[in-house]
Amino acid sequence: MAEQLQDHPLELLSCLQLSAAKALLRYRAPSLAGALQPGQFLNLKIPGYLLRRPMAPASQEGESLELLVFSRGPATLELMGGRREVMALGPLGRPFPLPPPGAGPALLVSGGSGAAPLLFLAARLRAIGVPVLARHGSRDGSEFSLAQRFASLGCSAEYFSEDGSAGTQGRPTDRLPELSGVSCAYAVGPRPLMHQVASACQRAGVPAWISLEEPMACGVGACLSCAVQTAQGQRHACVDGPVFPAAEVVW
Amino acid sequence: MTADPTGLEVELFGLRFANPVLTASGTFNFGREYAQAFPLRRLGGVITKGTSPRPRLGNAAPRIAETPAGLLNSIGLENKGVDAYLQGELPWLREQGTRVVVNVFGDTPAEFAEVAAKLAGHADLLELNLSCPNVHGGSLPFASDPAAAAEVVARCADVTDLPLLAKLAPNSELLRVAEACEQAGASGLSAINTLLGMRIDLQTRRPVLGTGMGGLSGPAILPLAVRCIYQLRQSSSLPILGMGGVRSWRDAAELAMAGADLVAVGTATFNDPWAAPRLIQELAEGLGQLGLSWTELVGAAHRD
Ligand SMILES: Cc1cc2nc3c(=O)[nH]c(=O)nc-3n(C[C@H](O)[C@H](O)[C@H](O)COP(=O)(O)OP(=O)(O)OC[C@H]3O[C@@H](n4cnc5c(N)ncnc54)[C@H](O)[C@@H]3O)c2cc1C
Ligand SMILES: Cc1cc2nc3c(=O)[nH]c(=O)nc-3n(C[C@H](O)[C@H](O)[C@H](O)COP(=O)(O)O)c2cc1C
Ligand code: FES
Repeated sequence: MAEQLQDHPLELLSCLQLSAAKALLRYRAPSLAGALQPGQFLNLKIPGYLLRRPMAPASQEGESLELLVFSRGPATLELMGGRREVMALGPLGRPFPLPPPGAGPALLVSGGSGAAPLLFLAARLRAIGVPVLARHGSRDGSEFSLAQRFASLGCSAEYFSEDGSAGTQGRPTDRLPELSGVSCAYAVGPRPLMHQVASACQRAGVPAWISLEEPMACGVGACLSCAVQTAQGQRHACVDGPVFPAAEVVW
Repeated sequence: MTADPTGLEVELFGLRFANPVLTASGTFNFGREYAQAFPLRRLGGVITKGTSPRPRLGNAAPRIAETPAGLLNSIGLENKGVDAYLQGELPWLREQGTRVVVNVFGDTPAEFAEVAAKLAGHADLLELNLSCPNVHGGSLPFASDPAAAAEVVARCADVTDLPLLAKLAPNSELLRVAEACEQAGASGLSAINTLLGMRIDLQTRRPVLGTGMGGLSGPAILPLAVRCIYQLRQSSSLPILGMGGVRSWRDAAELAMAGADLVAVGTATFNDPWAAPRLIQELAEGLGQLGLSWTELVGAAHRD
């Protein structure tokens, strides 16, 4: 059997700072060219840390890819600080299933760094001619440019801030659009956000997918640290997910 | 005797190991995942995830927490049960050209024996996990009670001819339990398992792990492993499989000098999936420079 699991060098090209704790980092990653699908993740080796850090890329075009990094602790801060080279194990996990080309509009709902895999997905959906309704939310106005990114990909995009400082005041799950006109939905963000989208979609009979962020050690199915509960029983987020059908998650 | 250009070959329990480096139980599952990273035949052996008579779901999430120089885990021995592995993983693993050590677990001595009895022909060695801190509320009913540990070993020895390694906890009963296991028929000792630790989330003011406590592994426990193996070597003549925080060939050599005949790499694999094969390569080079073979290193700290 050929060895398929590889470490790929990511070489920093540019860093777009969204706020003190949020950045969009563009890397050159020739050995990963064409290998990633939206929803999959990379397990990043950051010197000085025992565990790698999982990240779901926000885009891939040719030899370059982007990571949307929110700093939650020292390792993500280090990454944002502009570390020039990072080793990335991957691609790992299962991607978002895509609707057939030409399907009706897809609804994408993200909160915080959950926008990363959904930006990547939005680009793919637009490329196969699927209209996209994107809703992104944050506490404040600092992520407005992410909604602009969705818009620049050809999505109908709306921004929500809890403090009302940009876009619509509230959350991206407030007053969800009429789901009867939607062919499928995707949600990534805090659990309550994903749960709300999942419930609304289940009521409306719309297929929906979410991505679970679980603490991971190996990222490849070897350590069993990322157990999640689903209607099919216990699963492991790194190999059976991180993308799961929303209706199967035990919330 | 055949020539061994690598200086790494080890002959133990009537088995030849291509090199003394195995992968530690619970960090390598049954080998299939990391076989996508490198051919398993480069390893001295694979030690499987803990295997119980029936499937176990394991503990509540979150199951891991990073620490300054280690990892806490409370996986809770999630596994599919021995029968599932006899059908799927073990026949495959046996074909990978490396030694197969099955890590055995049960809630009672009879359960250990139930698993051990099924493994003839499917493993080269059995490692009896007497010391998992993530079950039984961390009370270590076997690794803290020489008589209970001896009963596990004896019951397993009754039902299998496979060599048995008793996996010990780094606690105060270490030497007494080791002695009891030896008398009960253990062929070797394995040390060390993880030690209970805890982390608390500053925001929620609650333990990070779903079960509160978890076993500490990684570089933080290397000196503990060195000490335990050193003491075991002083008091027992059984072969020792040493582990705990090994990342580099120097760490492995240190455990060897303390008395380990074989070593296992665990937590280091999470940071670097190639940690074990890289270590083997570096060990060959390192020993070559010293003009030593691995077996000359074993127990060196105890000789004049
Ligand atoms: C599949 C997947 C995709 C992800 N994609 C992104 C992304 O695109 N952008 C982004 O900013 N973040 C993403 N995350 C979360 C990211 O992995 C964590 O923010 C990061 O690990 C935090 O590390 P730290 O040292 O800065 O924080 P600390 O809080 O100091 O980390 C302590 C430990 O907890 C783990 N941890 C903390 N938060 C999380 C979390 N949310 N999920 C999993 N493990 C965590 C860390 O890995 C580390 O082991 C993703 C997580 C997963 C599982
Ligand atoms: C995630 C994880 C799971 C483990 N599962 C088992 C197990 O099933 N059985 C066992 O005997 N030891 C288990 N261990 C302990 C290791 O085999 C080893 O004894 C310990 O981690 C010390 O080595 P290390 O520091 O190199 O990881 C586990 C360790 C980790 C980190
Ligand atoms: S992170 Fe190791 S099994 Fe999922």
